[in-house]
Amino acid sequence: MIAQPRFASRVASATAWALLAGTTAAPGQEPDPAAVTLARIHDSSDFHSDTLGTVRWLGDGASYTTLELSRAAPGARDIVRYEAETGIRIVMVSAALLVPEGEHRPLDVQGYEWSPKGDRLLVYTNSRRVWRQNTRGDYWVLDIGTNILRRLGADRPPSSLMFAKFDMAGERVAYVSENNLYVENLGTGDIVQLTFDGTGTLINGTFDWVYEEEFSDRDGFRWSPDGAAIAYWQLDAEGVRDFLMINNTDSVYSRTIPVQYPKAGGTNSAARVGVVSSRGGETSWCDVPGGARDYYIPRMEWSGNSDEIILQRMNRLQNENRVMLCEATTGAVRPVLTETDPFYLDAVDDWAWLDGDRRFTWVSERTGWRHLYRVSRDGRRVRRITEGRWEIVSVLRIDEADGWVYFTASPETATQRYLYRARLSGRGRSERLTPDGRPGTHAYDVAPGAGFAIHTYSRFGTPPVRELVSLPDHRLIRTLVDNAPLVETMGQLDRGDVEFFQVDIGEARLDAWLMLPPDFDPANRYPILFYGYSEPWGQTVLDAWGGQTYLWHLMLTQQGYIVASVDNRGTPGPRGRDWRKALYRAIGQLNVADLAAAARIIVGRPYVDSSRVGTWGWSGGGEMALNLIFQYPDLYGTAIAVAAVSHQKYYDTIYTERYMGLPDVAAADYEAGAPLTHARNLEGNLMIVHGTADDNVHYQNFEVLVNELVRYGKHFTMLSYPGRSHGIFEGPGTRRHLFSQMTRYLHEHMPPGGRAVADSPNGAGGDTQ
Amino acid sequence: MRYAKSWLVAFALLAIASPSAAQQAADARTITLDRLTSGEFYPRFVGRSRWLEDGSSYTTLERSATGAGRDLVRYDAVTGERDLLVSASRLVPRGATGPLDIEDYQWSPDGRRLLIYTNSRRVWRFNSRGDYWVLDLDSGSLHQMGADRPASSLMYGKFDPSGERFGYVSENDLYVEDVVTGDVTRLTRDGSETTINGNFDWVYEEEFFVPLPADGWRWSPDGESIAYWQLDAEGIGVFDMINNTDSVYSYTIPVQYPKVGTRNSAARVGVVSAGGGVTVWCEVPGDLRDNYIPRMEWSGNGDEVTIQRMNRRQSTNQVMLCDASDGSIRTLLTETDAAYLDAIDDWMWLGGDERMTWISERTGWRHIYMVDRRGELAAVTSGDWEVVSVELIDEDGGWVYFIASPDDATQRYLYRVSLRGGDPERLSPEDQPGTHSYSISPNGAFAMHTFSTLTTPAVTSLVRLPDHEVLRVMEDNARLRETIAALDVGRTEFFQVDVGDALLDAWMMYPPDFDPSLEYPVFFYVYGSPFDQTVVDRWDFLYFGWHTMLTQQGYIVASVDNRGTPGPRGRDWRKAQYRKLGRVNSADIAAAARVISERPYVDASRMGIWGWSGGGQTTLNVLFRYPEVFSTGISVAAVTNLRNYDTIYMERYMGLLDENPEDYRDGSALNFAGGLEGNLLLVHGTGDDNVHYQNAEQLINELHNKHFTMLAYPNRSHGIYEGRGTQTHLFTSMTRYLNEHLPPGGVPRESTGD
Repeated sequence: MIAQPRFASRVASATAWALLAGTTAAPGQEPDPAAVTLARIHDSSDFHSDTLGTVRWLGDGASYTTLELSRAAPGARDIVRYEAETGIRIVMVSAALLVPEGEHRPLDVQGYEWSPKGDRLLVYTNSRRVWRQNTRGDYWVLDIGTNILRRLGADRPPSSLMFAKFDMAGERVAYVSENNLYVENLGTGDIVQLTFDGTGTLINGTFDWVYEEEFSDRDGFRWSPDGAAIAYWQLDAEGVRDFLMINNTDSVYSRTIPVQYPKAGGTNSAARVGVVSSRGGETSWCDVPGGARDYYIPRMEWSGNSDEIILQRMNRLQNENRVMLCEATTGAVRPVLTETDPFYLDAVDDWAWLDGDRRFTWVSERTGWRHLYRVSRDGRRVRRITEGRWEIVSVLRIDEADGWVYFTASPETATQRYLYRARLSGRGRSERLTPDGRPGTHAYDVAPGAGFAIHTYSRFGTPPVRELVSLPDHRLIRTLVDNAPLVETMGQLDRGDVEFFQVDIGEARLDAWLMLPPDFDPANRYPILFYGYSEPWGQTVLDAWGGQTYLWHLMLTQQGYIVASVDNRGTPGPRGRDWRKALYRAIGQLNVADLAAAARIIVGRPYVDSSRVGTWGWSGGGEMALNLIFQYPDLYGTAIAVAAVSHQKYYDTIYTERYMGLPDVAAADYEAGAPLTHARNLEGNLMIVHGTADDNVHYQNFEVLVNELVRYGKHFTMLSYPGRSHGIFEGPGTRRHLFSQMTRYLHEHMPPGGRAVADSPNGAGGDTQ
Repeated sequence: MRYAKSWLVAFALLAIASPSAAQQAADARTITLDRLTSGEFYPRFVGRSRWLEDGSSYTTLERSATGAGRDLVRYDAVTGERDLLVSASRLVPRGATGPLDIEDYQWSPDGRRLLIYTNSRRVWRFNSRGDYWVLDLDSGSLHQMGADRPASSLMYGKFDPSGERFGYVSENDLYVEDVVTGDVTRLTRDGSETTINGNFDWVYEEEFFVPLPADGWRWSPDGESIAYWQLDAEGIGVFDMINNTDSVYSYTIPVQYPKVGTRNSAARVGVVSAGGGVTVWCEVPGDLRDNYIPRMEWSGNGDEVTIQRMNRRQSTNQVMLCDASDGSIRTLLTETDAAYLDAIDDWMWLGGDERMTWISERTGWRHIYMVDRRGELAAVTSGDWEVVSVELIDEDGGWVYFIASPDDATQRYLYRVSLRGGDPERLSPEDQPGTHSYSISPNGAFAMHTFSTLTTPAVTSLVRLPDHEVLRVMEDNARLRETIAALDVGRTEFFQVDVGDALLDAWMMYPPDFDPSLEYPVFFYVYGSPFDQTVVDRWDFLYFGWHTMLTQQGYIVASVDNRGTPGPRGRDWRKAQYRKLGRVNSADIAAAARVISERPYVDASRMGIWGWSGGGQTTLNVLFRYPEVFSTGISVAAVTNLRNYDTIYMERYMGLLDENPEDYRDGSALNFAGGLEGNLLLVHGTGDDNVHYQNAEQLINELHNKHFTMLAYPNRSHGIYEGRGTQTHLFTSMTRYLNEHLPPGGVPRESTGD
C-alpha cells in the first residue's frame, strides 16, 4: 500500500479559478509573496524543487555521471562526467550522439546504465506506465568507440522491453519483453529467446501486481556473475482473479480494465525461481519445498558465485522467512537460515556477499531491534555487526576492502535520519558521520569505496540541498543543488512556529508535530486539522521536506488553522520491533485509539478549539480518517478521507495478511478495524474522495461505504474522479481541483481563524453543526 | 428516454411502510423529509381491474378475508353487486403452503380459465418475466405453464381465442402449450442472447414501447398462427456497467445498447403456424438494420399482418400489409414529416378487415382518420386542436372515445365522436377542470374514471357513459385528502409566460405564508424534452410532497413547459426542438425565468432549477448557458453528451449523427460546462442502464476547473431508488443542498439590492 500520495508535478491551465477558495490574486495584482495559494502550489513553478539528474557512480568511486541539459541540442540532455574531488566536467555522451538514424531529435533519456567496462551505454526511453511506474519502454545501446547507436529488441513491440541489463562482460544485454526473457548479443545483434511460455498469466522475469506493490519486486531476473546463466522468477498467475475497473469516459462504449489482484484470502500466484543458460535451453527450477501458491519468494540473488542462487522463502502468514541456497544446475535446495516472528517479518533487502561467497550480511529484529549480522554460507555462524537499543534503517554501502558498512540510523529520535558507519567485523561502536548541528533528514548516495557521497539534506519546511561530500570526514566539496530560488521563496512566506514534540498517552509517547498560524495569538482558540497515515507503511512525523502536502498545510495555517500530525504505534519509525508491530491484527483499532488519545491531549491545549477538530489522510490515512470520525464522533467534527480502504477484505493478500492475518482466521479483527463496521456512527462532516481507476485501493471501497452511509441516512460529501488512480493526479487540473475542493470543504465545515475564548467554549464536542 | 417511470413502481412499494410514532406526532401542517418518504403522500390506486367482455361487470383483486393471498372478485357495474369469483384458497399449488401471489391475471375469452402471473423478476425496467399458472374454473385444477422451463423465465403469455392453448416466450423462443393436455410445441429454436423471438432488445423496449409491455408476438384472430418479431442483435454495441459492491471481485453488467450512430438490431416480422413449422417472413424491403418495425398487428383477419415500418431517421412511417402465407408485402399508407414521426398505437381494423383507424399529424394537428384498404384517408376528427389518445372504439355503437383538451394543454378530458365524423362531444363534466382519465368498458356503457388536479389527489369512480353519471366512488383517497387538507399549503397558479415568440404554460406554488411585499427564491422543476410535460394539472405523487415542503420552507416552486414538449398544441409546437435539443428548451426556460423574475416578489438572485433524466439534462443546459439567470441547479441522471444516448430516441429528435454532428455538439451540455458559474449538484446512479453513468463522469472531467457537488449512488438505476434509505438520502441531500446554496424565505425588497 502506498503510504503517501504521489505528487506528480504537472502544470495545468489556471483559467476560471479565481473564484475558488480565494486562492488567486485579483487580476492585475501581484501575488502576495508571503501567501501560499493553490494557484502557486499547483499552477506555478514557485515551489519547484530542483533535482539532480540520474547519478551513476563510476566503478572507481572517484567520479560520477549525470544528465544535464544539452547546450548544443536544446531540450535534450547530455551525459556528463564529474570528477568528484576536482569537479572537472567532461561531456561523455553528447545528446547529438543519441540521434537515431533517420531521426532528427536525440532520444529522451529516461534511464541509463554503463557497461562494466564503460565502453557501452544503455539508454532507456519511450517508456510507458505499468500500473505505478514506467517500467516498460525501448532500450538503445551506444557504442562509445564507434558511436553506433542501436535499438535492442528491434523486432519486439515498441515500449515492450523491461529491466535490460548488461552481462558482466558488457557484450550482451538481457531483457524481458511480454513476459519472456531474451538475451541480445551486442556485437552480432543475435537474439536468443530464453523463455517461450510467457503469457498474460505466466510471467517470466517480472512480477504480478501484488508482488510489485507489496514486495517492491519489479525486475525479476539476474545475470550470473560469470554471465553464463540467468536466474529468474516465474509467476503463474492462473487462478488469480481479475478485479475489473471501468473506463467510462474515453469512448462511447465503456471498457473494462482488468487487474490481476489477489484479495485477502484469495488465490495467489505460484512463484518459482530457476536458472537458464544465457545461450538458451532448459530451465533448472529450484526445488523449493511447499506448495508454490502458499509461499512467497520475495528476494533472490546469485550467492557470490555462479553456482548457487540464494533466496528468501516466506510462508503465507509471512512470519517465517527461510533463506535457502539453490544449486543452479540441479535445482537442489538447502536451508541456510530461518527467521521467525510471532507476528510478521519483512523481506530483507540488505544482504550482500562478503569474502567472495563465504559470508553474507543479514538484517534481523531477533533482539527486538533491527540490526545487521554476518552469516556464514552454511548459516551456522551468525555474528552481529551492530547492536544496542537502537536500529538500522537501511544499509547504504558496504566497503569490504576497508571493512566498513555505511547505513542510516537515528538512535535518538525516530523523526530524523543520519549517516553512520560500523566495522564489518563487529568490533567497536558505530560511528556517526553526519556532523552535529544539522538536525533533520540526511540521505546519501555513497560511492564505491565510500570516499565520497552525494548528500541530500532537508528539514521540515526546508527544501532539500544536495551536495558532494567526502567521507568519512563529511567535508563539503561542492554544492550540487542549492535550491536557492525555492529557499528564497520559502523565506518570504509568512510562517508560524512549528513544534516537534512527544505526546504521552500513558502507554506510549508518540512523536508529533504542530504547525501554528503565522499570526498565532495564544489568547484565541483555533481549529486543528490532524494529518496522518497510521499504518505500517508510512510515518508522517518526519523532520524532512514535505513537498506539496507541507505547502498545503502551510496554506491552511496562513488561513488560520493549526495543522498537526502524530505517529501512532505501528508506524515504521526506528523505535524497535515491538513498536512497529504493535498494530498486528489491530489496524483500525490500536492506531486510531492512539491517535484519538493524542488528539485529546493536544486539543486540551488552551488555544485549540475543541469544536473545530478535523482529520484527513490518504490511502491508509484515509482509512484512519474514516475510523477516527466514525469511532470518535465526540472528538472529530470533520474528516476528509482520500482513496481509503473501507474494509481490509478488499485489499490485497500480501499487505493485508501480513498485518492482519488470514481473513477467515482473523475475521473478527478485520470487522472490528473496518471503517465500514463503524460507518453508522457518523455524526460529523465527512468528505470522501476516490479515483475510479484506483488499481490499488479499488473504488469498491468507496462504493460500499457510500451504500452503508446511505443505508443509515448519513450525509456526506463525495468526489469520485473518473479514471484517476490511487494518486489522483491524472488529467489536467486534477490535483488543484482536489485540493481546492478539500480546502473549500474545510472552510465550510470547520471555519478557519482564531476565536476569542469566550466565543468558543471548549468541551462542547466535535460536531460543528 | 423515459422520465424515471420505473421509479413510480418502486415508490409505491416503499410507500407501504406505516408512519412511525414520530411522524404521527409531527406537526400535521408541516411536511418533513421523514413524512415525505413515509408513504403518507402516496395515493391509493384501484387494483388491477378487468372489464368483462360484455361490459356489464368487471373483476378486480381484493385481499382475501382469510388473510393469505388475494381473491378475485366481480362487480356488477350498475348495482355494484360483488361476487367472489376465485378465492385465494383455490390458488394454492399442489404441495405449496400458500396461494400464488397474483401479480397480474387474464381471463380466457370464454371466461372458463384464469391465467395467473406470479414470481416475476425485473428485466431492466419491468418485472416482465415470471411464472404463469392456469386455473380451470370448472375443475378447479391449477397448472403451471411451461413448467419445464427455468423458473421466472416466461414472458408475454396469452390464451389463444379459443382459450384452449397458451403461448409464451421463454429465453427468446416462442412456445405454445395445450392447456388441457399440457403438450408443448416449440415454435422457434434459434433464440439466443442475440436472436430474440417474440420479444425485443433494450432500445426497442425503451423507445417504442414503454410504458406498454414490449410484447413481441400476436395470436391470429382464428388462433391458427402466430405473428412475431425477431430481432437479430448480433453486432450491436454492449455497454458494460460495473458492480463493485456485491462481491469482493467486481463484475460487469452488460447492456445491449446501440449508441447514437451505431449498428441497430435487424428487426423482422414473420408468421408461424401455432402447430409449429417454418416461419414465413414478411419481405419488408430495405436494410433491416436501418429500418424499424415499431408496430405489428393482425389486420382484422388471419391472412395478413399490418406493420408500421419506419426509416432510421423516423421521418417516414409506411403501413404495410404482409400476406401471412407467402410474406409478400404491399404498402397501404405512407406518412412523412420534415422532422420525425411517432409510431401509432391507436390503429384498429373495423368491419372485420375493411378499414383501419389511423392517427396523423398531416394537417399540423393530430387527428383520427379512417383508412380503407386502398389506403384512402378520411378524417374522423379535424380542426386546430388535437386528439391525445384513443380510449375505445365502439364499433357497434359507432363511436370513438378519445382524450383531448382543445383549450388548455395542461388538462385532459374525454370526448367522443361518431366514427363517421362530425362534431366531437365532450363527456367529462364542465365543472371539473383538471385531468380526467378513463378505463372504458368494451361496450362504451361504463368507465372507471379518475380525476385529479395539481393539488388534489385522484378520485376514481365508476361512471355511466355518455352521461358521466357517477354510479359509485371506487377510491376517494380520503385519508390522503385529509392529510393534505391539514397541511399549510400556499396558492397555486397556472398561467402562461410570454417569451416573445411563444406563450409557455407554467405553474407556480407559493409559500403558505406568502407575503407579496417580500422577495422569494424561485425553484424551477423542468423536464424539457419531447417525452413529457411537467406543466400538467394532475396530481404528481412523486414530487407534490417535496415541492410543497419546499414552499413551506419559503421557496416558490415553478415549472414551465418549453416548445417541443409533448402537449396537444400542434405538430409545430411539439417538433420545435428537432435537432435543437438543449438549445430550444434552455432558451425558452431561461426566457420564462427572466420574465418571472421580474415579478416584484421574486428574488432574481435566488433562482434555482432541478430536473431528472431529460430534466437533468435541461437543468445542466440552462445552468451552463444562462448562468446570469440561475445560481443553483440540481441535475439528476442527466444525459450530458447526446452521443451517449441510444439510437432510436436521439436520432428521432436529433437526426443522424453523420449528417449533423454539429447539432449533437451544440445540444450537449458537456460542451458548455465552461459556462458554469453557479452551484451545481450532480446526481447519478452507477447502475443506470438507460442514461449511463459515463454521462456524469465525462461531465466531471470537463468540470476540472469548476467547483461542484456530486452524488454517485452505487448500482442504482435511472430511478435511483434501489436499496434501503436511498430515496430518503437523495431527497435529504437535495434539500440540504438547496437550503445551503439557495437559502429559503422571503426577504424585504430593499435588502436584496435588485
